Parts: sequence; structure tokens; C-alpha cells
Amino acid sequence: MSCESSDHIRTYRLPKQAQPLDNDLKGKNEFVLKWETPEMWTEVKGHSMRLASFTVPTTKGEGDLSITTFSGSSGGIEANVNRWLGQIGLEPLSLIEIQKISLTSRGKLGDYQYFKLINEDQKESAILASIFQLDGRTVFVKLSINVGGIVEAESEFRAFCESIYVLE
Amino acid sequence: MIDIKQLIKFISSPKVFSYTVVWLIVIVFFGTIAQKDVGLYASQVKYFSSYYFLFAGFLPLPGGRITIIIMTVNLASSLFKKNLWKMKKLGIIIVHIGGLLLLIGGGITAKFSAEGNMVIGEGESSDHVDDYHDMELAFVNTSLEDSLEYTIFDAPLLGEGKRIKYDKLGIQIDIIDHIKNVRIESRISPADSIYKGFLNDFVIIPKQPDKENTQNRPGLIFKIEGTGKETDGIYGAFLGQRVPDTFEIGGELFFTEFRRKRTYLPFAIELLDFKKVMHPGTNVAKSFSSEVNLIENKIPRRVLIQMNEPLRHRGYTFYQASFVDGLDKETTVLATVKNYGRMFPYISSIIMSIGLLIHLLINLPKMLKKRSPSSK
Repeated sequence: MSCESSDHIRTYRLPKQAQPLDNDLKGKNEFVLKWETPEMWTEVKGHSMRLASFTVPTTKGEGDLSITTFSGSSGGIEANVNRWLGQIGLEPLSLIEIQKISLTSRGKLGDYQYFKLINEDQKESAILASIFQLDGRTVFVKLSINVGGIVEAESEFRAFCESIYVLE
Repeated sequence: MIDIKQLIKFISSPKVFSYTVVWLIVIVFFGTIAQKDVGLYASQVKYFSSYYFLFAGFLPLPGGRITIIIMTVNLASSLFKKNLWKMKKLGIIIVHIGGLLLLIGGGITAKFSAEGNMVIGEGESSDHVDDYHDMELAFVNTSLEDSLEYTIFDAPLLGEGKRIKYDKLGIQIDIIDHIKNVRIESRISPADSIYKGFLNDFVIIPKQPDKENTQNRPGLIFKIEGTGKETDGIYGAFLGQRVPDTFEIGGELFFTEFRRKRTYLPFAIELLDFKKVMHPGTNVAKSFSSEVNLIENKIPRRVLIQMNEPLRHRGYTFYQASFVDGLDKETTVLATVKNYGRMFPYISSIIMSIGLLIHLLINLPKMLKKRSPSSK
């Protein structure tokens, strides 16, 4: 380890192999997700909270797909779905109503809840989303796209969600 | 012209010492009461580590630090009194020196000591201590071949409104907000283009700080200039941020980390086994201990750290403080203290005891004479 310092600013180097990680980062490294990307999707640089971002092309326009993961329930299904509903201009729903509009499916990662959120009065934005509630962790897959694009992208989105797995 | 003798007489007056002792008792009383409402750390900072504090929000009163300084000056100046330096007052001189050492030791502890914790999972090792209270902002250069280069900006630079110009990286950082406790929420509407990294999709919202400072999650909002048109902007960071923000500076890739101030040690501790014994039929721990390897110069030495039996090494003391139950393994939490003034209380107590004993022996004949019948 080398080091220099001046006036509350210090620099030092640590070997990459011996890089000490805090517990959160360790957790992140231990939980690595993999998936099968549909042929036409393009991985793009997303913001740092995302595990990955993709541009999803359709004949009706491009969609933005993100995969994020958080420890715990990350606010729970109700808060997250209502946030998405707000993003497309719809009123929040109760948890019972949310359960009614969700579809439970099974992928390699386990059971997940699938949501297709469309505002008929605002056709330029709609959301497809899946929530995987794992042991101590939640994984979100969300596609923001226009209503026309949803129809084309839905099957690929579902296949993508089902292909996600944890790298052992 | 100032009369030196008069000045020494004034500042070395025993009355000053008496008043400061009484004032310390008052501070200890109010500080202890205040702990209930504001927590241990905030109370300590307000009453004991401060030069002054505001009583009822407006009346400035002397804090613990200035009181101790007055006491120290008073005791030190009393040693300059000519009439003290007599053989029959040898015991009193020694007691004064012992008291002075105790206060100086307290000053050294307050100024230079550090407290933190070391968290180690079973089978893992650690060579650093995380401070309980101070934070630091790290810019980590990941572009070097075999090492990561950390540039650390310490807590005093991270106050709201501070500006850091760091020529080595050619950047300027303006601290917009340093928040004691935060929560993170998703943005409802799209962010302005000035927000970069995770602030593009999330917001940092201030939260009521917890009484116990260690329970808070501090957050930092800062503006970076000098990285390039695309990446200059407002960034956010918070304690425990799982995925750090990244950006390029001069073609090299950096990530930021807002973390507890980290002190690297010249040795490492590896946790071999953590054991806990519970009170029967309860979830309350009766005792817990950590079997560790103290690794220095690649040579391991096996040590058992348990409650009331800390590990002391190279000025650091590691106390068994807590643990974290995991699914597959346990994690120990060692409270770590580096106290340069650790020996002062012991030494000064011995010196004061010797002083009192000498004073007693010197005055014993006089006392016996007074009590003997012939003296009546």
C-alpha cells in the first residue's frame, strides 16, 4: 500500500485482489444475475443503480428496459406498483386490487409477479414489469414503452424474465 | 504594566479550581439528562467536547473542553507559586503534577483518539477500522492495471457549502448538502439534465436523525466540475450505497464511495470462529467470543477475544462488542479504540496516591504532636 496526504486529502493504492469490500459490496458481488438477451435488444449504459439497461426496439418505437435489485422488499409490491402507475398517470390501487391485476409466473429465478400497466388515455407511455421476491432481496425488471410497442415486446419481455438466473 | 505575580496569583487561585470542578459537575448532570433525548453522541458533542454551548438556545455557557483547559492552566500555574516549592509541601506538589498529567492525558485522548468498529465474517479477515461518526468521500481510480487508487476527502471538507479544488485530478467539488440521515426514493418525474448517476432516477430525502448516531445513514449531494461536459453535474452518495456512481476523469474510470472514515492497520485480523452462549430459553446472549488470528508480517497468532477480555495490540484495543447472525455464517463486531492517552489515568493515579502518602507522612509528626497529652 502506498500513501500520500495533505490537508484532509489522502491518496493511497490497494492491490485489486486484496481490495477490501464492505459488506454491501460483498453481497452485491455474491449475487450475480445472468439472462438470455433477445437478439434485437441492445445493452446500453444505464445509470449506476441498474444492473443492466437495454434498448428494446419495436416498429412502434423504442423501449427502455432496466434490471435493478435491492436488499429486502424495497418498499414492497404495493409502493412500487403504485409508483409505476403514477408514472403513467394512473391513480394508486390497494394491495388487493394490485394482486388482481398481477399474474404470477415462474422463471429460472423463481416465482415472479408480472404487471402490464397501460393508461388508455396516455398511449405514449406504458409499463411491463416483473417483481421477483427472493430471500432477502427483490429484483425488478421494468420496460417503459408506448402502448403500441408493448404488444410487440410482451412475449420477448416474458421470455427474458423467465431466463434470468443467479450465477452460482 | 501587567504584574506577573498578580496574574499568576489570579489564574492559580484554588477558587478557580473549585468553581471549575462545580461547573463540571453541573455539565455532567445536564449532559447525562440530555442523553435521554438526543442520544449519547450528540450529548457528548454538545456538553463535553465543546468550547461552549447554548443554554435554552441563546445563552452561551462554557462547555467541557474550555472548563478542562481552565482547570489545566490553573493547576499548571499553581506550580509557579514560590511558596509551594518547600520540602513540607512535596506531597502537594506531587499531587498537583499527578492531577495535571490526568488532565493532559484527557486532552490527548480527546484530540488524538479514534473509535470505530471492525466487522469480520467467519473465515474472512479485515485490516481496517470504520469510524463510528466521521465520514469520508472516496474517488477510486479503477483504470490502473493491478491496483485501485483511492483519493480520500476527509470529513472537514464535506460540510455544506464547502468547495474542494483538487488539481491532481483537475476537478472542483462543491458540497451542496451533507445530510445526517437520509432515505432514497424514486423520482416521479424526469430529472433535470444536471443530475447525474443515480440522482437521475432517485432522490435523496432528509430523514429525522436517530438519537444514536450510528443508526443514521448519512447522505451527500455534491457538484463536480472538470470531468467533462457529459459527466459534470450533481451527484449523490449515501452510506451503504450498493452500486456506486461512475465517471471518467482524463480517460480514467472512477467510482465514488461515501463511507465511514476508514483507518488501515499495519496488521490484519482473521475471524476463525465466533461462539455465543445464550441465556437458557431466551434470545439474550449470555456471552460471546471471537477466536481470531492476528496476522502481522504474514505471521498468524491465535487470540481469543471475549467480553471483558479485549485484544490489545500496537496501541489498538479490540473489544468484543456485538455480532450479526447470518444464514450460513456468523459475523463478529469488534469495537476498536486507539487511545494515545490510555496510560495517563493509571500513571497519574499512582503519582497522586504517592503524593497524598508523602503529604500524610510529612504531616504525621505534627498531627501526632497535636493529639499527644503533653501538647495540651
